[in-house]
Amino acid sequence: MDRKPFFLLLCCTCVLPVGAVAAEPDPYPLSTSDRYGLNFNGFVSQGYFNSSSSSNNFNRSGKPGGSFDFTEAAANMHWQWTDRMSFAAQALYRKAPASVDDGVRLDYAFVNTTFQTPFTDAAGVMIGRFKNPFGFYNETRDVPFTRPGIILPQSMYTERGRPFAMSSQGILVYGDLYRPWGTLGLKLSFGEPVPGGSSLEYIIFNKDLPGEFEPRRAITAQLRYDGPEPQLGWSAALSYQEYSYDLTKPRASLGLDSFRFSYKSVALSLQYAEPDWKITSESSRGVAFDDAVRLTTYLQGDYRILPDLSVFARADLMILDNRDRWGKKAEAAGRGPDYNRYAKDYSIGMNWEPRPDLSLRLEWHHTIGNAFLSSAENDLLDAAKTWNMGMAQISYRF
Amino acid sequence: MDVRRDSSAEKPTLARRRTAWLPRALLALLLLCCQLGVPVAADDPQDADPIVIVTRRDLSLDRLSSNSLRSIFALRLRNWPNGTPVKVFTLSDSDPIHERFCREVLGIYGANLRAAWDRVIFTGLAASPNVMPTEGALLDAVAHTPGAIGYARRSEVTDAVKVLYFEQGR
Repeated sequence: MDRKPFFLLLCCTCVLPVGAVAAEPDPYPLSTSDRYGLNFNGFVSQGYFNSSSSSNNFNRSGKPGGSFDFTEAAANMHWQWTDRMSFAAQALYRKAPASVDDGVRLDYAFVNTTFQTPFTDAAGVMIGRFKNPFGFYNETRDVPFTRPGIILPQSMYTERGRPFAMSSQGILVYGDLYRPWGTLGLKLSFGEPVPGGSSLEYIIFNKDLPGEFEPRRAITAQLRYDGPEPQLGWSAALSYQEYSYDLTKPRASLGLDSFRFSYKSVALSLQYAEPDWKITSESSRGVAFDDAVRLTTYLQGDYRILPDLSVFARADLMILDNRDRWGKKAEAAGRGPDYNRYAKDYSIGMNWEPRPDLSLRLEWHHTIGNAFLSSAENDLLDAAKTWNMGMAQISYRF
Repeated sequence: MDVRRDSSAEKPTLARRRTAWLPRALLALLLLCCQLGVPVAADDPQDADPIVIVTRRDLSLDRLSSNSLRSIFALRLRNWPNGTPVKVFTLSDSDPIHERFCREVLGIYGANLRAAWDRVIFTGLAASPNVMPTEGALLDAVAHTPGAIGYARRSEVTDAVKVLYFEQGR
């Protein structure tokens, strides 16, 4: 195998930033990483979940005494290679039974090239593995500090469906206009979803089958508006996401020639924020491979009591099939209790940030229905209809 | 409303003081309205030492719109007109001068700015800002780093850096 091109590329990447520094001596003692355009960030987070019903598990919350099975940690790097090219990557560790997720994965790794644009605009292209833009939170769904609670609204950002909605690999083109009336951004991506693991099989077949779903296609599009003041005033987003997987290996055991899973969804997100309070609502409509129309919506209000202490209340609704909203037909057809086909989740919570790098959260959920629970950690025929769950989380960033 | 701050801002002159008080009061009221929740008191010692925006001396720009300024400090605008990557220098989130900068210059809270940063830092779009321990260290770093931008109290600023005019208010 000819390794020369690879070796040359390696030499170029090592020499380029050094050359830039040598051309312009810098008397300020910047750290070594700054000198080479390198930047590192990360966080660690530990959660605790305890539900009132031992048969309704969310991250094993039904265990006696509750569960600490929700650990998140990430470390990322950003390397400004040249003026217009950068490389970024993030390694993510998660232990989260609700999304059949335990281990380290490459969350994103891409080369970002920005185009020459007028100063008040920005545009570029990302090639590699990147986060899927969907709604306000999908791109940072695993970063505790960015979430509006310990867990995201499960209607739209389900933990059980997370592994295949979070990143895709391919090409993403973006453009932003920065104007006195606000920021308008467009993102379009085309590629394939990340491997879905067994969580997809639990959703469709309620069990882990031999073989894996093979990623086929992922397309995303998002048009987003943000007010002129970052994180204040109006924000709005219209998002589209489509992904599909093929299941080819275990076809014999299923008695199918082949099986293709696809899901297309569109979401509308709105937020209005003042310095002390904000209201957020997001709704989505998704169509799965079996033509079931999934509807989700939530409304959340946040209030900042003190500069470092805020509280929220949220109402969240998830319907798995709009043709059978309250699961009556599913129950009549012997597919389990009607309340497994929807979920109404009412929650309150608080977030205390005693230091900018530390966040302590408490949350209480009152839930009717089980639509977002995973069969990987639940026997859904036994799950209770109405249940409560308390949560706590501590997160530290570096 | 275009109120520019720079290191040579003047005290009111005699000629100005003779102006009828009503239009001046109205103007003052209007200015107050433009401040977005920033308490403004005539005897506030902070007014005497405003926060100014500083860059390396070789930056080709002399002024920025408040809109561009916000976009730069929110890590949204990441290249100067000549293509040089923007390098943002700040003080720590808990530094009172940082909070003053957020409120008085950007018209937002420090927590808002941190939330905006998290969105780009944890999706790989930008490097995190360079957090400096003191204003002196920040000014030193800005003076010597290509593409650098930061802020400091006017009384701390020296000729080693360039003070950028900006429009204030909404």
